[in-house]
Amino acid sequence: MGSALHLITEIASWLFLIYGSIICTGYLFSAVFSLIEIRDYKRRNNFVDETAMLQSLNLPAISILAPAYNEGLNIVENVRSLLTINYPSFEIVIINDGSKDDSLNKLIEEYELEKRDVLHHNFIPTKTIRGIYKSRNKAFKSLTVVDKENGGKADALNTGINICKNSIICCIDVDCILEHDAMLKLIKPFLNNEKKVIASGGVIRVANSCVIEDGRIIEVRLPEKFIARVQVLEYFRAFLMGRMAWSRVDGLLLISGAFGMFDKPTVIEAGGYNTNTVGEDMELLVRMRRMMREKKVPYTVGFVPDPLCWTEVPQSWKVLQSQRNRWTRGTAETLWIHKKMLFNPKYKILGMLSTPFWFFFEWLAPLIEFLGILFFLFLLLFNQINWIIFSTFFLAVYSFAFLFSVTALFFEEYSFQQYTKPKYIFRLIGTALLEPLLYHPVIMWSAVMGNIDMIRGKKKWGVMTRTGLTNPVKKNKA
Amino acid sequence: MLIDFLNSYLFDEDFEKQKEIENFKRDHLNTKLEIKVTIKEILQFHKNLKGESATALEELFLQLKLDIFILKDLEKNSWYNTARAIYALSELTIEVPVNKIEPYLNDLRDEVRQQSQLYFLKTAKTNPLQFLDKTIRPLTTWQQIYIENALKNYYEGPIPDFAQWLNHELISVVEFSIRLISRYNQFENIPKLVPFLKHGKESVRIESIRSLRKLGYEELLGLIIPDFEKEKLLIKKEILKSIKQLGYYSDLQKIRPLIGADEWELKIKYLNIERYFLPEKREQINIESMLEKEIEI
Repeated sequence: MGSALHLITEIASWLFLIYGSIICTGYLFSAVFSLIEIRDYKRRNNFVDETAMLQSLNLPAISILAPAYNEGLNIVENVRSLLTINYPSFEIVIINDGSKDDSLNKLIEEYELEKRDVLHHNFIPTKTIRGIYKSRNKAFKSLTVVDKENGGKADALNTGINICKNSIICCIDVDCILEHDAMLKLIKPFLNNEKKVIASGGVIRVANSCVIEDGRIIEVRLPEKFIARVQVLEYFRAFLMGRMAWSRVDGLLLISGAFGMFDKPTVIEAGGYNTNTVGEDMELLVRMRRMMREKKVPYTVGFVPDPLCWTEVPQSWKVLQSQRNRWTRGTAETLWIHKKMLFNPKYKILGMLSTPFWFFFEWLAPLIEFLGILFFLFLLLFNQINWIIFSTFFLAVYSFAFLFSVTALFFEEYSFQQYTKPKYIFRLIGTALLEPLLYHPVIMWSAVMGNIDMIRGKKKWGVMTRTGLTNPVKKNKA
Repeated sequence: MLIDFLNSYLFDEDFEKQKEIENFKRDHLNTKLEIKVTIKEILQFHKNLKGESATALEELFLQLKLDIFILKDLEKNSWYNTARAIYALSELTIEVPVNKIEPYLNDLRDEVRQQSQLYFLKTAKTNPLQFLDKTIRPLTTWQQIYIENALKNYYEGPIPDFAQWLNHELISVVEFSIRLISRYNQFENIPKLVPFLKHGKESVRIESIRSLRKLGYEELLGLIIPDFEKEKLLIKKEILKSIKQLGYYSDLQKIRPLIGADEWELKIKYLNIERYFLPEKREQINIESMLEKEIEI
């Protein structure tokens, strides 16, 4: 009995060690690739100012699609902010996804909207449209509001795709704050590529505690709350290290639903957003890429590392858990739908590298970590722990996690330097020290629950309670 | 220190220019970093200045012999040094022998190509797009927009006849010149554009339809409507647009039987143009189209 237990312990320990080593090596590789990509990007752009291009009338028109559900609190200000986007030719399509609050009435009143009979065709099937509104006021001529029955974010975006006029669409969250040249930077990959570009994505940043005026970030501040601050680090890691590296090898599988640009004909051909998954943003890009690969059409996906879009992140543990639960379900559902791609050489980098990475290190990692904790408790129960080895490994893993965050912080300072005050950097280093102990276990647990909920067949999005992005200076004065 | 020096050089009348320039060279241009920082700052100042001050900065740049450093940078093997060097030369309109920049017009990196195009455009007295003759790598849409913007904003000489590149080997250059002909209203080139309506490349046909439409060429419809049925979607859309702009309802009616049952994008475009021609029948058109939609869906 004793030797069997010992053998099981030995095998399991080695398996955990091998998995941990592979994952750490993967992260190291992604850090190296990201560094090369960031350096290249800086070299390409540090002496050229292309904002003069914004005066050009030759840039293609863009349709900006923003779904809204119960956003009555801030919808008028959010739409006003979108209307001031700096780009020569665009239309804004707000899709009111059957809001139960007064969002639509507020929009109708503020923007002098009236019902119009806009001819359209449902290239992608959606829930019924109740009405399409345009403004009587020429100042808001670029605004279209679509009122439809509730069908979820994916369905709302599909409605926008059916209604909008232009071939390039930009799907964003209605409360996002965009940089003045965000559209120009995001469209550049579409225009400056010899291959067909099917989508491009930008970097999302955390707007909590930032000073905002008239829908623009006036001063970048570090969030006051730990929970939001730690997400700043997470976003650094995800965008400056993860997606930069994937972009380098053209293996991106995800463009954030909060801000991404797409080639509309390709989206329609692929069938639009999938309404049966909560990870519709990832699923769409994977399906588009898969379709292009199967058709053998040369294509690429653009990624712009500049901070282009600022968003509010969850400030309560409950909302955060619900968000991460959904992200896990979205990842798992997408991988399940496209399981054919996994280790399939036909899909090249996507099949041999991207999907396996997502499967083993994004979806499986929290589950294995959770198993590891159970294993640790099991060993503890049977008094099988070698405390010296345990302490050594714990310290090594903790140091790796901390150093990885500090590297992400270094990448930010090397590239875009959004957090200019030294005290912000020190606070972020402090946050990185606490993250593995206070924050990471919650995220892991949310992912485990996400998997359980998925098995139970849960399809709900969960509620993202927003406190609203306002000017903290004015708020304090008030 | 550097900023003070530049400000004094530009705006202080009592500043002893020659002496101070020599002092500056001796004390502050000893390392590569110092030289790079000085160049960067001069370029930054130059961007914000015009007229005499800008010219004075260009002279200062030469007197500090920073152009020598730039030319060395130009010949380095790294693409970013080359691109940055060409950028500095074109920003400060420092002319160097053509053979120093010309090879970069076809560099592997598009950043280098773009900067060399800009250099020729900014330093040209006449024929600012002559570099196209030497170009053998396709122009991306972004580069075309960039060149067109630069042409509008930086070039002050006579506008060239864009038809000279209509027979260029690169399709992207042909498309670009077709577009520029209409942008600059070169009506005299209409006869040269007409044959491109039958060009083998779809993108060239699209550009020529667009250009001729913008130039208001009335015979255009007679040439493109007969080809409607055999054309691809993008050209069909351009033909419909041209009918709206140059034609009559009778022209539109010729198209009606040629639109397939599942060509929804075309149908919508057609109906919108029909509404435009027949505003009094708008309601009827709506009802018809809605019925059609319901049946299909």
